[in-house]
Amino acid sequence: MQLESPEPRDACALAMAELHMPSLGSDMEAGTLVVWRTHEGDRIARGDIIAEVETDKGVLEIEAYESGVIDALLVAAGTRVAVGAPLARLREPSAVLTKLEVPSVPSPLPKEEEEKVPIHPGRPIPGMEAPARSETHPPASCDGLERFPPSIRQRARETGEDPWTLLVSRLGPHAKPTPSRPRISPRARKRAEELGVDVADVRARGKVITSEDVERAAKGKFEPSVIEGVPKEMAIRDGVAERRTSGDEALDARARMRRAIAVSMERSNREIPHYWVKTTIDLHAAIIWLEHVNAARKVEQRMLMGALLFRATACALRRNPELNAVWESGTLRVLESIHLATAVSLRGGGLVAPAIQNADALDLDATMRALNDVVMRARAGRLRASELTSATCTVTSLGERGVENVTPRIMPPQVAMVGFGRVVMRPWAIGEAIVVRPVVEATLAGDHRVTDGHRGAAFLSALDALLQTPEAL
Amino acid sequence: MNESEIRKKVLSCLREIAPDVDRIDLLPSADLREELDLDSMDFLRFVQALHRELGVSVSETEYRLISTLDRCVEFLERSLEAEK
Repeated sequence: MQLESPEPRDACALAMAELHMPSLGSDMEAGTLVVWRTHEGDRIARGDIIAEVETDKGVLEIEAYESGVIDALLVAAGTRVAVGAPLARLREPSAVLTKLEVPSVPSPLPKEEEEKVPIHPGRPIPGMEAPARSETHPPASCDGLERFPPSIRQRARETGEDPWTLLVSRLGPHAKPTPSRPRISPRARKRAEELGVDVADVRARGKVITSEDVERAAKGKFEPSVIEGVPKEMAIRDGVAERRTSGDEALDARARMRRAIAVSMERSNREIPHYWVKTTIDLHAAIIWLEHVNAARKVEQRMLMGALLFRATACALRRNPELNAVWESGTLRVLESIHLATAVSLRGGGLVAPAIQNADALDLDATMRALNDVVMRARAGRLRASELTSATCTVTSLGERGVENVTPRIMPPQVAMVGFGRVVMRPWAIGEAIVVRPVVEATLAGDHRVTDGHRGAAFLSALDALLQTPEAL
Repeated sequence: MNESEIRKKVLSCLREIAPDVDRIDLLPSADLREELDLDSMDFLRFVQALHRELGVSVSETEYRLISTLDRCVEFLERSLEAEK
């Protein structure tokens, strides 16, 4: 949309754009703009935080999806704004103003980069820390097929067929690969940005994605923790549904979060036929290695076992791609990117599971930093909308003060979840001798419509193997 | 730095991680992790805060020496003395 600006400027500055309230949930109709984090006259880059918006999932930071200069803030702090309504006007919207510095903590890749650089397993992704380990710098003969099961690898090499299509075709008629480069009309792209919909999530009815496809995707937009199914006149307080009285107009934030979790778990229970597989993993090698590494480091660079478990999970998912998928409206979408969420319990109650983008591309140090950052922001209520809407799988780790094992419940629309219990000392057989080893129980919950115990077991086996060689993580 | 100043610093470091520390009647001899529901990431951040505020580095093998408020203050006092 082109408007004349009041002062004469050069041609590229005449364009104006608007930033709109994004949809952060399939049923979200409106959000309350709590506070602006930018001012008129500020130059912002795509991905910059522009405001904090309150939703049922708590307060989320909203990122700008375009770069430019804030011409006007159209809404005052404290206003409730409908999804799609304009929040701010931007002048000089252009890619020229995109931030040049590389973020030290992972953030969602700007869309321009995602299209230019196809993500190949094993190749470092620009903007992310280069993984230091040889496992992620494969020898020159590698053709990117290592992450697929042997039968698919063989077939793909022989016939030149696309391995993703082969993988997905084995999963049934309802499965579809995520298109790597969907063709999309400019109008549809703009609409996608307005509604906060990731183009990768949109299914085209025809050959090209239209704005109707985008609108449909926005309505059915997937959410890791979904707010739906609770009739508006009912309020849920502390797990007990009660009819809402006029005094209940303002549910407090904690009650709303509890409701969001309840609804998500109900949906998980109702829709997902779960299976669970477990294994006990010897962590002796991992602990010894970690102790050595940490002893030689400053306290600021210390790493936790949780980071190893998280990283190993991301790597194991790479080798078992059917577990890194989302199921929406009867269609399975197997995703190439691994955005692994970590379940964070909040002080005073509540649970969020923000995703760490492209978790498989981060080396151990970067994983530790990312976990630290996301946990801190989750507890401070400073998560970004994209972190709550992009998870492809989740890990829950109950830490050293929790229980020995956990039987997780998958967060729809994901199709798998990994749980770790407490690290405990147990008698362990090595050959015919009994020793005492630190072990951890790992459980995989799988959606039985998508995978079965065999795949789950293969995943756990990969996880175990990865944790036996911690130096390669 | 005297004992009571160190104690104040420790509490302020704890407050960074567990803002509700003041509301809890924290017994100086009680296990910090139990009382404040700290997981390993919380505890590491506490140790990092102590390093930042007091310049004392607590190694992983020494964590058990700072498990309660009293033991933590004692440990820090000793470490700061030793540095003089």
